[in-house]
Amino acid sequence: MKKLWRIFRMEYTRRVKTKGFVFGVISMPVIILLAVGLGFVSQRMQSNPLPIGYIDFSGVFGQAVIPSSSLSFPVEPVEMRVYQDLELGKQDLINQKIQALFAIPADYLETGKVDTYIAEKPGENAYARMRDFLRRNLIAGESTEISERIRKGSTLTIISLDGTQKLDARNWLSILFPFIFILIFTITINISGNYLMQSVVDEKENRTIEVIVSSASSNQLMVGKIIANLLVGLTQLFIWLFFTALGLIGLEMIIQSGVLPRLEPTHFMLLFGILAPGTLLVAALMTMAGVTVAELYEAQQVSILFTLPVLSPIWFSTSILSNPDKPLSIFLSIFPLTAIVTMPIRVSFTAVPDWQFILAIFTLWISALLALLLAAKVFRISMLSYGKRLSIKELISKLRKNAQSV
Amino acid sequence: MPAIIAENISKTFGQVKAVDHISFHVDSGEIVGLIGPNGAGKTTTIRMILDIFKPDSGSISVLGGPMSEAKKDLIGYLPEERGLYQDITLEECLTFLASLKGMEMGLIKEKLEVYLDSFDLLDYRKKKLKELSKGMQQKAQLITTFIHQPKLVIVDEPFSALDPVNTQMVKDVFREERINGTAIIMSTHQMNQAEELCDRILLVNKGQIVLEGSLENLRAQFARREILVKAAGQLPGNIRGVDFVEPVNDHQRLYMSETATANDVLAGLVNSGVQLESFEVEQPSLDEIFIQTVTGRKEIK
Repeated sequence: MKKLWRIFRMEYTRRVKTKGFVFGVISMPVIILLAVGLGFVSQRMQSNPLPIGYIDFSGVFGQAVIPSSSLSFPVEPVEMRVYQDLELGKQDLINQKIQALFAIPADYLETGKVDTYIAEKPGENAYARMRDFLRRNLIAGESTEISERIRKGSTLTIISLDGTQKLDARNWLSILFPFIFILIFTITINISGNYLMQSVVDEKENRTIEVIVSSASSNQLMVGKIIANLLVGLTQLFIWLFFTALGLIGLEMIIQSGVLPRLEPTHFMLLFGILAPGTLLVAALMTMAGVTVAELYEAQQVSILFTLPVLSPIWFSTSILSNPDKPLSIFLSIFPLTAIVTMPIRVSFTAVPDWQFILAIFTLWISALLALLLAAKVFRISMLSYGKRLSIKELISKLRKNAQSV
Repeated sequence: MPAIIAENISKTFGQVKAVDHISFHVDSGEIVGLIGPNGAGKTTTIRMILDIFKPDSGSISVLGGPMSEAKKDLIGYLPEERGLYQDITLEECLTFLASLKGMEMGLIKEKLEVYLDSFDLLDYRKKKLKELSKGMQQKAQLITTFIHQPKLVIVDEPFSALDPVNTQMVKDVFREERINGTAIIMSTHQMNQAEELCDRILLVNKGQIVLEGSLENLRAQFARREILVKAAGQLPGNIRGVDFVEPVNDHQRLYMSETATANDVLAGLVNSGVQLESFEVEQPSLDEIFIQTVTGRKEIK
């Protein structure tokens, strides 16, 4: 166990110290920050510090108070002026005392239309400020709770007839979870799988493997490598998710419109019951691809054999979405390779019976562990076939021979 | 106690018989040279001892029994091709490989200090392996072979890339380990090093052991019946026990007759009144024994 831990630690620290990893980790939050920053800057640039004016012909806003702006950063708050004379307002507009003049017509309550007079293109903050003024004055007579509820909107929850499945229409994570899940899986397996295959192919060619297996077993080496490289991929992913969460929290603090998703227990079950063994399974299969070939590009080609079946349920997604409880959907959500993508889709759109969920988790974990053991065996057989690709026939024959000699 | 007992081991790759029913043993406190031409089966034999390959037939006992994971901690291995992580520092790499031999971190730190110092690598401990010369990497690999004080050491071309000073230092390490009771198998093409260090030689060719024994015994088997002498003045025409005389620079090479001994020739020369300056019974070098055995040619000169 100590040796496994040491192999794991060496593999993990070597990988996370590489320039590629550091660049990969930093690039995502930097891109997000840049995008958000640019959004704020562009929002700010579209603001105009000049006041806006309005004139009310409807009588609805006769008693209106001009509340201080509830608009927050990056929208620049502007002062509001009330006019009784349209011409005076227009004159101020010409003299650049205001950036826009809003005329609320007599039939405003029927039509909802507001006329806007401008001399030059006003800032986006002029429209935002006016909309905020109208909304707040329209609900001014209501209690604070009602006003707040109108402002924040309502949450609709879709419940299946038997009550076992609930879908919060405003919790975007529930709806997008299957897709986010597939994205997480694809990213993890891409990062980890590539590191793994590169590590195995390189070390096989530069003979480091020979030195290590003279000190540790091939099982320890393989398991240590696979888990370490998986964690490298997950580390990168979690750092990205952490920054995404920070971004969402920041966004929520600014716009306060409920963008923060709620994590449900099912999400955790999918992460630890399906995603974890799923990535382990595919990583082990990809490692097998790495040890049987001589070059990284060959390993990448062979690994498609394993990643394609995993992503194949996307082809059947229409059928799975419209018939999540039909035999094809059930089979695909239990069969280890296809369960990784199918189960999250089913879970989001139907009440998956417990036995199916448990069976899928069980088969995935068992397959992942068997794949790990098989990867270690294949590794042992082919680790010293330098510069040579092992054919499937050779591999099977060696595996049989190996099984007999053990 | 023998550190290795190999009995009748064989290994075939496809149609190629890499090792063909060989048996040998290596005792504790003994350095055994495993020599042979390229493709003779030396590396396959080493890998079978290390349990990297399993023999198709036969058995290998290592340190008193079948190879096990626990025994790996008692073995030091230096492969012919250097297997070190190039993208980490020398210290990190050596610490990692020593830790895989079951050493505790405190002990590794202590020993590493000593080894790095004696191998003149102390100033390079924070350098990445890829920044070190081949010779330095070879020394680093040698440290990983010995740092855990193994009972059995298997080295494949240990002197490659080493300069004469470092070669001498490594030889001293080998001798010291031998005194400590370590069994060492050394596979090499450098016959002079094998001659100098090895207590016994195993000459492997085409997967079989074709010669085995101490250097003395091998030399006796391949004795050339030649004597190199330097004398003041001319040698007489007829010397007892000598068939033929050949001048070699300022020496004369005497080819002894089938039944003569070196003593007979010496007595003949002295009795003839020859003033001898030097008299040397020529011994075949390991190089010559190797070439003669492998190629079947008798005359090396």
